Amino acid sequence: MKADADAPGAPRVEVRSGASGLVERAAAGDASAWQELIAAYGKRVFALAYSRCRRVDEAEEVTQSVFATLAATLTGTHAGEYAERGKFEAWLFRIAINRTRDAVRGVRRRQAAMDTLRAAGSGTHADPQPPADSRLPALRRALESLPDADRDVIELRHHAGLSFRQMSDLLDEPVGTLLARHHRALRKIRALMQSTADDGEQNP
Amino acid sequence: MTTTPNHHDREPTPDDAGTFGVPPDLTAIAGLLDEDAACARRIRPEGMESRIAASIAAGHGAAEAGPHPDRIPFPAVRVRSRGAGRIALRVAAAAALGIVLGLGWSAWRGQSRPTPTLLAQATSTTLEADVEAWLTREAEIDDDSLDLTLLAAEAAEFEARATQEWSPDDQSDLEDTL
Repeated sequence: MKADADAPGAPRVEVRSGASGLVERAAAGDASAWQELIAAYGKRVFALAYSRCRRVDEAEEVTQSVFATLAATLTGTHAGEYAERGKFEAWLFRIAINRTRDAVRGVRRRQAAMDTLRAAGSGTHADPQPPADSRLPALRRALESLPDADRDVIELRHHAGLSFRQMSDLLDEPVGTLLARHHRALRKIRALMQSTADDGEQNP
Repeated sequence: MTTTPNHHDREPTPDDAGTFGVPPDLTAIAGLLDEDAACARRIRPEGMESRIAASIAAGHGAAEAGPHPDRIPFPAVRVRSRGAGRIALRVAAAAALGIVLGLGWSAWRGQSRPTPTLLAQATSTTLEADVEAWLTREAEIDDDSLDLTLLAAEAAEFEARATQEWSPDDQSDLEDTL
């Protein structure tokens, strides 16, 4: 079982083919299976949550909550009912995106207080690393301007790393629709970034 | 259509056939998004996975799951809930149709049957007409036209009946009383 799906060149197929047995082992209470599951999917869940929240602590909390939900469901009320149908990732990331939305609502409610804290110099949750690419801040602003439906497709595709077929399972929409939405969303992002760049040139 | 490099650390799968790429003019944006995702994965807190695994191993999963741990069903369970959902939808649709038909029937009957208001109005009109006709008839009666013969006959009849019903005992009782 290849646990680290984030490693360069890691064949994703290996992870997918092993997910079934891994989930079943986890559902049976195998602690090592849980470690493998978390190692395999934790970073992608975190990336999805972080892209939406832009807060490390919130993203970690969402990630924790997603796996806790997974554990509670697999080993709790519905223990023993799990039947792998090749849709584990779609299910996992549906939980992730719902938890992320919940977290974003919470963040917005606390936004004013956090702004005050940051102004006082006590904000410690900002991105701890400067962006590697100078275009990333503009990209993130463009992402925030997208409608939720477009943003879901972009983040599930790029940050969660799902295939369009998995996204189709997750969002209950045809693959063709999601492809078109992804395409349009990319164009919107490009237009928004271009607009920002033009404004910057006009008002240096 | 060309395809982007494998930004998601995986090879295209058969599921992705024909869907993996983006148009050439958007590959730069797609690449930037992948770079943003890679940044997010890199900045995750140190030891996050270990903490989560330890939490689950300690059996804290249910406590951390929040108020709605079962909100997202398994794919397997979901199939069943979808079936139940369809049945519920059909029942709801049938109920809605019944309500609509019932309302339509009531509306139709309401137009063809006298409502209480209409009945009251009709009754009132009838009474008014009757009273008006009676008053008109009374106004036309001439005092001279009263049938005094009839009145006399009725008086004679009353007197005869009273005589017939009178008995000597009645007379005696009357005298005693007096």
